[in-house]
Amino acid sequence: MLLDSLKNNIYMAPMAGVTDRVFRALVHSHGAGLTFSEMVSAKSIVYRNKNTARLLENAPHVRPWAVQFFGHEPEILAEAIHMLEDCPFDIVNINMGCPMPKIVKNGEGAALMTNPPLAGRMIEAAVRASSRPVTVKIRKGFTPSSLNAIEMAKIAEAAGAANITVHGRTRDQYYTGTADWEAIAAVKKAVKIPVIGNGDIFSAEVAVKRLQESGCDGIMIARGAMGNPWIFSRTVAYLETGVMPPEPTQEEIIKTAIAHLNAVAEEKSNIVEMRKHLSWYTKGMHSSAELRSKINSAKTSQEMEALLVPMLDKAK
Amino acid sequence: MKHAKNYIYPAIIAALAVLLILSHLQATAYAQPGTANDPLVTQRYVDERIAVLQAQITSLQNQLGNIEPGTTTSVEAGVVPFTPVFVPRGSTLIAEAGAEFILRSGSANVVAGPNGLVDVTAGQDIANGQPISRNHLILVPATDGRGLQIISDAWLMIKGGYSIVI
Ligand SMILES: Cc1cc2nc3c(=O)[nH]c(=O)nc-3n(C[C@H](O)[C@H](O)[C@H](O)COP(=O)(O)O)c2cc1C
Repeated sequence: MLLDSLKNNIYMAPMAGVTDRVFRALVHSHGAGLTFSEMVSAKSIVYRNKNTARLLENAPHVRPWAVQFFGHEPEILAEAIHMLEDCPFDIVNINMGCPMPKIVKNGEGAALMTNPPLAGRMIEAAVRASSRPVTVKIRKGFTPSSLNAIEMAKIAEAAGAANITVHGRTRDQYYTGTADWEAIAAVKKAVKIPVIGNGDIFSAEVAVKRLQESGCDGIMIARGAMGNPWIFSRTVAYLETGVMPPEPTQEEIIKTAIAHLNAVAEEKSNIVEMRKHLSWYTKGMHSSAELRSKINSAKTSQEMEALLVPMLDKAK
Repeated sequence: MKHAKNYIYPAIIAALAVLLILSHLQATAYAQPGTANDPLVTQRYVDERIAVLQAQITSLQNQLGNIEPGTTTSVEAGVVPFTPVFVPRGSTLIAEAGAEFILRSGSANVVAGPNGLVDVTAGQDIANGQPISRNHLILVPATDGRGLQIISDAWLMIKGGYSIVI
C-alpha cells in the first residue's frame, strides 16, 4: 500500500496557517516523508468555497501528500471526498484533534473524541467514499477524565483506517503542558494498524529518541519544523547513516529564509503570512528581537529581504 | 419599658466583671508553678515527650509525602466527573438509571415511557416528547430506554452510563 512506500516515516504535521503549498515544498525538499494540507472543511468543499480550493493546491513534485478534512457529518465528509476524486493527492486524513473552540463547538476536530460512535461513522463513510487510504489524527483524550485514545484507535482500525496519528495531549491542554508519550506507546501496543506519534519533537535528536523509544511506526513534527526544515534532513540522515549532521549555520538559515520568502512572493500569496516564518527562522539569532519588530512592520517582500541580507554578513 | 432597660446595662456589666475576675483567678492558678494545676516535671520527662511528638510529626510528614504525588491526577478515586459529549442532530442518547446530564447547547426532546425524566433544577417531571431546558440538571430514573432525541447538534455534560445511537 502507498503508506508503506513513503520515502521515510518522518511526517510534517498539518498546521492551519502554516503548511501551505510553499512550506510543504520546502520541508519536502528537506526530506519529510509525508506532508499534509492545512485542515480543510468538508462542508466548504461541498459548497465549493473558493478560499478552500486554494488549500488544495500543491506543487506537482511534492508527492505523496495528504489532505486533511474536518467536519462532523459522515455524509458531508463522504461527499467532499467523492468530489475530490480527481484532485491529485494521495492520502485522506480526518482531523479529530483540533482543540479550537470554534471547531469544537460545532462538534468537529477533537469534539469527535467525545462521541466515538460518530467518529467511527465518519471514518467508515470516508473509507467507503475514498479510493485512497484514509488516516485519522486524534489526541490522547478530550479531558483528563476521558482518556480514550486506545478506544478511538480500535474504532479507527475496525472502520478501515490505514493508520492513526496520536498527539499526546488532551483537548483541554491545547498546546500547554507536555505530550504524553507513554499514552502514545500504549496506543501503539493496542492496535495492529501503524501508529504515528506526535508531540513536542523540537529537535532531530528528540525525533530519533521518540521514534526508537515509543515503538511507533512513524513520527509527526509540527511546531518543531517552524523555521527549521533541517529537523527532517538531520533526522533522516541520522537514521540512514548513524551520524547526526551538524545544525545549519546562520548563513544557511538566512539563505533558506530568503528562498522561502521569494517563493511566497512568486506565488503572489499574502506576504504578511511570511512575517511569522521569518521570525521563526531568526529566533535566537543576535538582535533577533529588534529584527522581528522590523519584520513585523515590513509590507513587501523587498522590505523583508532587505532586513535579511545584512544577517548573511553577520553570519561570517 | 424605659424603666426595665435601665436595669439591663448594670446587670450586663456586673456579669462581665464576674467573668473577668473568674478568668483572672484561673490564670493565676495556672501561673502558679508547683501546684496541682501546673506541676514541676523532670528534664527526662520533657525529653521523652518531645521525642514521642517528634516521631509522630515525622510519621505524619512521611504519610503526606506519600499522598502528594498522587494528587496530580485531577480525577479523584470514587468521584465520577461530568464529561462533555457532542451528539449530532438526529441521534438518540439512551441513559441508564442514575445518569445525570445537562444540555449545554443545541436542543433535545425527552424519550421516555409514561414516567418521563426528572428535571431536578425545575423540580418537575418532563414527559415524553417535551423539550429539555438548557443548563438544567436532568436525572434518569430507570434503565428502560429513557433518554434524549437530539433535535439540533448538542453538547451535553453527562455523568453515568449511556449509549448513543446515531
Ligand atoms: C499553528 C498550529 C496549527 C495547527 N493546525 C492543525 C491542523 O490544521 N490540523 C491538525 O490536525 N493539527 C493542527 N495542529 C496540531 C499539530 O498538527 C500537532 O498535532 C501539534 O502541534 C503537536 O505537535 P508538536 O508538538 O510537534 O507541535 C496545529 C498546531 C499549531 C501549532
